[in-house]
This record gives sequence, C-alpha cells and structure tokens, in this order.
Amino acid sequence: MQRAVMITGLGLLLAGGLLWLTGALDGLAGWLQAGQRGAQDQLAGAIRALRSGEAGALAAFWTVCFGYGVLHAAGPGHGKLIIGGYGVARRVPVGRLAGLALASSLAQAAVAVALVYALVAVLGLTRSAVEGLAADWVAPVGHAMIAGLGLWLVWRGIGGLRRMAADAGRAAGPDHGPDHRHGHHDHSHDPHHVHGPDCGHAHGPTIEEAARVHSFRDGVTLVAGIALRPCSGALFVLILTWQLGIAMAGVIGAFVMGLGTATVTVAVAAMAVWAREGAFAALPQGRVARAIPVVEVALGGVIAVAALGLLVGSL
Amino acid sequence: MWRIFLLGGLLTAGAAPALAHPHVWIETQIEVIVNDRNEATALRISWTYDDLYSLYIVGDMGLDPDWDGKLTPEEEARLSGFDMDWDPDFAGDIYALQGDTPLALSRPKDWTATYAGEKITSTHLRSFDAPVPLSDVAEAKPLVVQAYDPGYYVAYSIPFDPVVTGGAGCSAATFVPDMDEAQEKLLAALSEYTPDVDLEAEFPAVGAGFAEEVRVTCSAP
Repeated sequence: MQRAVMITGLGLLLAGGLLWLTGALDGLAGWLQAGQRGAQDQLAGAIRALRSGEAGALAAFWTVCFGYGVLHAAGPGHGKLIIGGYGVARRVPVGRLAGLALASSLAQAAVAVALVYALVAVLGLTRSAVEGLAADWVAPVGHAMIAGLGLWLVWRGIGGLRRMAADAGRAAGPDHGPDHRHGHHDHSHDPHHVHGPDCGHAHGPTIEEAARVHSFRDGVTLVAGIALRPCSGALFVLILTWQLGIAMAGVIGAFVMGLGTATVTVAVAAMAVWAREGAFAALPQGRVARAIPVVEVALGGVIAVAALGLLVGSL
Repeated sequence: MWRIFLLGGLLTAGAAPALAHPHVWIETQIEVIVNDRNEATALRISWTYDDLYSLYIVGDMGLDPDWDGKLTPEEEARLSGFDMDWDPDFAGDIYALQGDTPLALSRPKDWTATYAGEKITSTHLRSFDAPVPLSDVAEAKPLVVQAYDPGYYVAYSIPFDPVVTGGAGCSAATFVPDMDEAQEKLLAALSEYTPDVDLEAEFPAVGAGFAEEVRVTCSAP
C-alpha cells in the first residue's frame, strides 16, 4: 500500500515535471512566443544594422543572439526533455549534468556552423540543401541516438526490477545505502556476481570504472543527440552573415546563441537533480532502492518514445 | 505507468506544440471565393513572413543586393513561387472543414510574391475539389478555414480580416482560440485516453484547438 502511494506520488511528480518540461502546462506559452517573435524581428534588425555598419552593431547583434538562445530554450524542446529526463532517471552529479547541458548547447552551435560552412561555403550547396540535409539526415541520427539512450535506460531499469524480484525471494537484508545502490546497478553487467545481503565487497575500482565508462558513453550520446538537431535560428544567422561577408560575427553569434540556450538547459539539469534527490530524500532508503529501476524504466521509456516520435516525424 | 508513456507518445504524436517551438512566423490572410449559388469554390491564401525569415530568403536568393528593401519587378518574379515547391504530403498548413468534415483542396496555383516593409508576402490560390454550399439552412454549418502547422515549426496567426469575394449575404470572421480551453481539451484528451482510441486519428483535433480560424456563412440566397 505504502509502495503504491509512493509510486503514485513519484508518477505524479514525474508527470508534473514532464508537463513542465514539455510546456504542456505552460501558462507562459503565449508570452514566450511573443518574446521569441520579438527576438526574431530584433535579430533581423541587428543584421541590417550590421550590414549598414552602425556603431555598436556587433555588440547589439551578439546580445540579441544571446536573448534569442534564452527565449528559444525556454520554450518546449528536445534538449530539456533529454537533460531533465536523464537527470531524473540516473543518479548523476549536478555538476556533470550541468556540464553536459552546456556542452550540448555549444555542440549544437558547432553542428550548425559545420553544416553551413561545409555545405554552403565549401561545397556551394544552396540553403534548401542545408535545410534538407539537416532535416533528413542529421536530425534523424540524433533522434536515433537519443532513442537508443532511452531504450538503454529502460533495459537497465528492467534488469533492476528483475534483480529486485529475485532479491525479494531471499531474506530481506539491511536497507541499501546510496553508494551501494549505485554499484548495485552498474554491477548488473556481471552476470556471475551474486548479491548477498551485505554487498560491501562489490565496490572495487573496476566497478567504479565501469560506471565511469557508462557515464562517459551516456554523456557522449546525450551531447551528440541534442547537438545533432541544429537550431534553425543559428542556420538563418550563419547563412545571412556569410552572405554579408561577416562570417566570423555570425559564427560567434551562433555560439553566443548556444550560451543563451545553455542558461536554460543548465537550470533544467539542476532542477532535475534536485527533484530526484529531493524525492528520494523524502522516502525511506529501502524504498528508494526499489524506486530507482521504476524511474529508469519510466523516464527511459518517455525519452525513447519521444525520440522515436521525433525520428518517425523527421523521416 | 502507462500514463507516463502515453504522455510522451501523445506529446510527440505531432499535433501539439510539444517538442517544437516556432522558428518562422507567418501572418495569414484568407480570401474565400464564392460563386453566385453561394458556394465556396476556392481560397486565396496570403502569407506574410516575419522580418528574419524574409531577410533570410531574400539574402539567400541574392535579391535586393543594395539592401534598400525594394525589389525590381524582375527580382519579384524570381522570388515568386519560392514557397510553392511543396512536398507531395504537405497539406499547405491550411485546413478547411464544414462541421466535422474535412474539405479537400487543390495544390497551390496562381502564386505571387512581393517584398515590402522588410517582409515577404506571398499569395496562392487553392480550389475546393467540390463547391461548398454556404447557405444550406438545414445544415447551417459554417465553412471553417484553419491555419496551423502540425509540426509547429511555423507559427501562423490570422491578424488580417478575412475577405469574401462574390456570393450574396456572406460574411467571414476570425476566431482566436481560447488557449485555456484548448489546454483543457488537451488535458481532457489525456485523461480520457483508453487503449482502443486511435491516437493518430484523434489527436489532430486537439492540435487544431490551438489554431486560429476563419468561419464563413451566408444567408439564404
């Protein structure tokens, strides 16, 4: 009964967080959209000012780029779903998740720069070719990577649930501490290891290393998955500035946009970790251990379904 | 648990502005062309693009090299049709309905494009496959024309008053969605979900709840 209450509460927390992350509850949607629209017009004005060589135009242009990044990140988007979902599903230190959020925002800008300069400037392809390539090839690869990450979380979670069912068959041991919990999961890839009630021996350096490798792979997938969906705003700015002969201003502008986006995704990262730790702190330790695989399955499922939806939509 | 999965699925099903936010803004005007039997035969759609997208297109096509915001007639002729090369499955982001019945529209034709006030405005004509009676008293269902992008890459609004050309006693008005009501509908759809409901079929109606629309009616001829 208590467990059911806990899971319901957790589900509500997740659903609420997800609604917030995806903007479905966003009473500010209209306000945000007006802001995005305003930033769009200001960006056009800033580029015109650059073209006519007005004093201070460059600083104004970069300022607008930053604002454009913040406003576009504040709306619903795939980056926040992935960062937030991953942060709730996996116990990841807030600093690392924030770093991943920043890295993915900057990598997203880098992808836009690479696309535009490789295709337009070097190969002489047209704008529509860049848009087509971004939509038909680059984004689907990113979506597939994210779907893979989601499915992997589900797979881990299911493994955890099965082990829990097996553990339940034995005598209940003392409640698991947080460190144990972590090792417990990462250790699941060793099929020969049997967990006793006292799992102290399991915390060898190899397991820590294995955890790091997983985190590293997760991180790379996460950053690449987010980055491979270049922002249209950055593409607009890069192509326009290239044609104006102020390519460098545009490249810097794209990265400044990325920094603006990062302000929001880093905040989402912090909130995700906070929500996870807060929710778990409110629960008895043993229940926490049991909740983890459930959360992994749920959030992994959400991420996978969302990414697959995007993948299908982008094919 | 299924609810969370469902939520993710629903939100990505495409119609709601779920994982997308707009990057292009288009202000739409809708002209309804009515014959002398008070049947709508065609729609003329006018799209005015936002400053940045207009600048982007004009710049990319190498038009307006002197940046004076004006195009020569030759340049406008080159611009014309820049947005009319539609994929076969692109519905044109215009959805016409009478009651609950979607009405089929032709591919675009007779397109134009102009550049003024730092904005591109393009127009195109789309015919109804069958004339749509507007003064059927027994039915009394207005013709509804909605402007929205199911993928929400483009944000459409209808700030310009609709125009009715031809017919007798016909009028058109714009309706802006009640966002609270649309949100409630979305949440209601989520809570009422049962596994036998076809999400793909059911969902667009919710998404359309966020769209601005023009309603056209005529008094009896």
